[in-house]
Amino acid sequence: MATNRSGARTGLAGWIDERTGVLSALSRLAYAPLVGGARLRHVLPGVLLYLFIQEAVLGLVMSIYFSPTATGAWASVAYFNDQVTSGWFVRGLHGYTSYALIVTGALYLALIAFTGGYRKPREVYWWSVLALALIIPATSITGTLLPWDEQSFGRMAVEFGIVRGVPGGEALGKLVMGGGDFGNLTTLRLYVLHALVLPFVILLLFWLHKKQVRRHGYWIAPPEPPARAAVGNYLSQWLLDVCAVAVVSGVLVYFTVHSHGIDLYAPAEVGSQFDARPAWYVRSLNELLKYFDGSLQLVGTLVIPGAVGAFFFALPWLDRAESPKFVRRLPVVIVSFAILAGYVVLTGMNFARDRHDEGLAKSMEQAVKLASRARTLATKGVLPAGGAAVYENDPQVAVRRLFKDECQNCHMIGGIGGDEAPDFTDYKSRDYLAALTRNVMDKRFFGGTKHKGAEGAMDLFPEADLSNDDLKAVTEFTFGLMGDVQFDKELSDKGAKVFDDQCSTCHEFKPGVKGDAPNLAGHGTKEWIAKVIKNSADPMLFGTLAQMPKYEGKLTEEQISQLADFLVQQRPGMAKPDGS
Amino acid sequence: MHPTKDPTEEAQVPAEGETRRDFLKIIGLGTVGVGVLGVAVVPAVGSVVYPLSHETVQGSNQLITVGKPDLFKEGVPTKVDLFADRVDAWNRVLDVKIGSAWVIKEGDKLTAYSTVCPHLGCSVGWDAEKNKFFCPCHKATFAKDGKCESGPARRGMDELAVERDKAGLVAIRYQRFKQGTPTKEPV
Repeated sequence: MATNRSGARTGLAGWIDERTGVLSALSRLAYAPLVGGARLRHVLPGVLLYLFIQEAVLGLVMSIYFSPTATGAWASVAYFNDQVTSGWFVRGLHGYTSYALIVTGALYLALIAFTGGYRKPREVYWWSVLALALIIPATSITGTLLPWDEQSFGRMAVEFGIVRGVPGGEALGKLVMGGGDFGNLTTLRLYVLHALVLPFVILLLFWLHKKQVRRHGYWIAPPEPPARAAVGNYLSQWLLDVCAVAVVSGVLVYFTVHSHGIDLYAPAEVGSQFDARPAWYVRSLNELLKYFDGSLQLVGTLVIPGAVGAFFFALPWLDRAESPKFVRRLPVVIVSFAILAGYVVLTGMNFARDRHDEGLAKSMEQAVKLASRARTLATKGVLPAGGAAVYENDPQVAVRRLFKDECQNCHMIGGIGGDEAPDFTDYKSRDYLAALTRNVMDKRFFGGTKHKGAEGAMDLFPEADLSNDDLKAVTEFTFGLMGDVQFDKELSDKGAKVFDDQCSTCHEFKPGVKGDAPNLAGHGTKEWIAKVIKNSADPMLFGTLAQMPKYEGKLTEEQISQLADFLVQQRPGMAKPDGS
Repeated sequence: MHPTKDPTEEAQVPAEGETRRDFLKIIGLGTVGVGVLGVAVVPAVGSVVYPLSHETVQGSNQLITVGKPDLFKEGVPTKVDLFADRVDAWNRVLDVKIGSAWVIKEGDKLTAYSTVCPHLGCSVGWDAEKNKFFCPCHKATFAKDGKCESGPARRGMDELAVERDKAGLVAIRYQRFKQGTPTKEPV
């Protein structure tokens, strides 16, 4: 940096500084004496500030991809996480950085308590850190509630349940939720709290804290004015700070990459079986509630946390020791560390409890599977109805809808639908075929169609005409005609003779041969069903007795193929894809 | 008693020998600082510029079925609204209006023009009395064959391809074009 003899800057730096004073101000800041000198143990506030800035940068980017509505939140988060360039990293780092903020804040608080840095006249300094250590996790919690996935929804239910359980909590809960139930206002309020209000409070606390540090130095007010040697400057401290930040940053990047970002579960649905567990930093409160439930719940949610808060707040007055020396302050130090130990132990117990919970492990495994399916479907875009509408993208769901729209007026499955045309429950199972052969005019089969009573209609085969054994055999034979099935060869051969006697006058079963009744070659296969859907009046099929509308041209080839697949799957034992 | 006063008031100019070491400190601070900042800023910028290399709204350019050919009267432009599915970032929206077109029938031939004015994108209307298209915003007029007759537009109305869909119905290949240019360039 070029300076002239009087120390003023020259050149461009001089030009800028003369007009703005920025460089001089910066250098005044950098060369201001630092009580106690540059020390590694002073890096925590710097790390805290940096992590906060990192959160702001990452959060800002996420905010331009977030839809703070109950219906849009999940889909927009899934879009950012799974489609936008480095979205998973930005969101993951944002999450892990919030954890680092919580840890750093707590560490800072513990160090101040340990060294007696809260003592007169440093009360405001202490409270500013205490407030930070509370507001930071609160900000993190509001953030975890935003994605409207199964986890955030489950947590929201529990956390608001706790809030509403404390005196006056009913109104407070309604105020933050924006009403009596979770909805658009809840997401928006939590979002504004998370992204605007709480960060602004944190900034104010940072400013207050910085003022205090500049006034009193770090941790301890020295009993007498510091020796000149013990005074360093802020420039050296900043260098230490930035190195510490680099280490923390490396750890965060490791976690983010290693876990490929942060969880996003399936979209929230009422009645989901998801077992929502709290974030790690509130696990201890969750554990407390295991011991104080029912009428004692307030002890766990309000009395104990409140007492801890009050203790830390009053620490400057509770500490009556004459000197800041550690041994003199033993009573308050012991209580402080008992609280810390309690927090750690409760947290550990809570995690241990979960580790031994097999039901939880199983439901978690399912939740992860569902999440992956939902997120894959979401890449096609989610219908505006809400996150759970993502399942509409599932071909299985689409084909059900198609069946409902196009077929269900006449055909039924599982008791739902019309009874004018054949019922597709257990379609083309052995029992189905046997029952059809016995009484084709049953309502379950063609009894509701014009087939009934028509000339050339199929005969009934009561037991007098077709013994149960013969029926069984001929059923095995016709079942075998489907081609892609396993059947009893011996029984089927016996059935072939029965077929020859009783059925072959009308039904052909060799491909391409026309008879008076449907050719049964490959009946019930996907290809055959697709032909029926396209044109059931095909001479190879139902011919003049067909009543069903032709769907060729009305539905696309793909839709017809999906419907055919869907009907094949109605046969018991056929693999049904996930989600049916 | 005030054992300390605000030390910022005592800011000192560094001694001659210290400036070299300070310079190195500043370099170190800058290098590590920029590196650390990059961890968040580089992926963040990557996310921000995502729309530069990806279609965030899809479905604005596609073949859209309009209806039977006898929908259109000989020689008189008919306005048709074009409905299709589109994907808007995280949403899939079904059957929404994505644009309109003026269709003119001349004999067997159907010609379609986008209603988007090639000047600045207002909606072009049809003036039946004067027998020409007009844009209400900046008073451009276009002949029935789409040519610009007066006003600020630098090219004629943008023609859209008319095709037949699988069922033999009239379908229009909808497209958006750059505005204000003398030639028709797809967006």
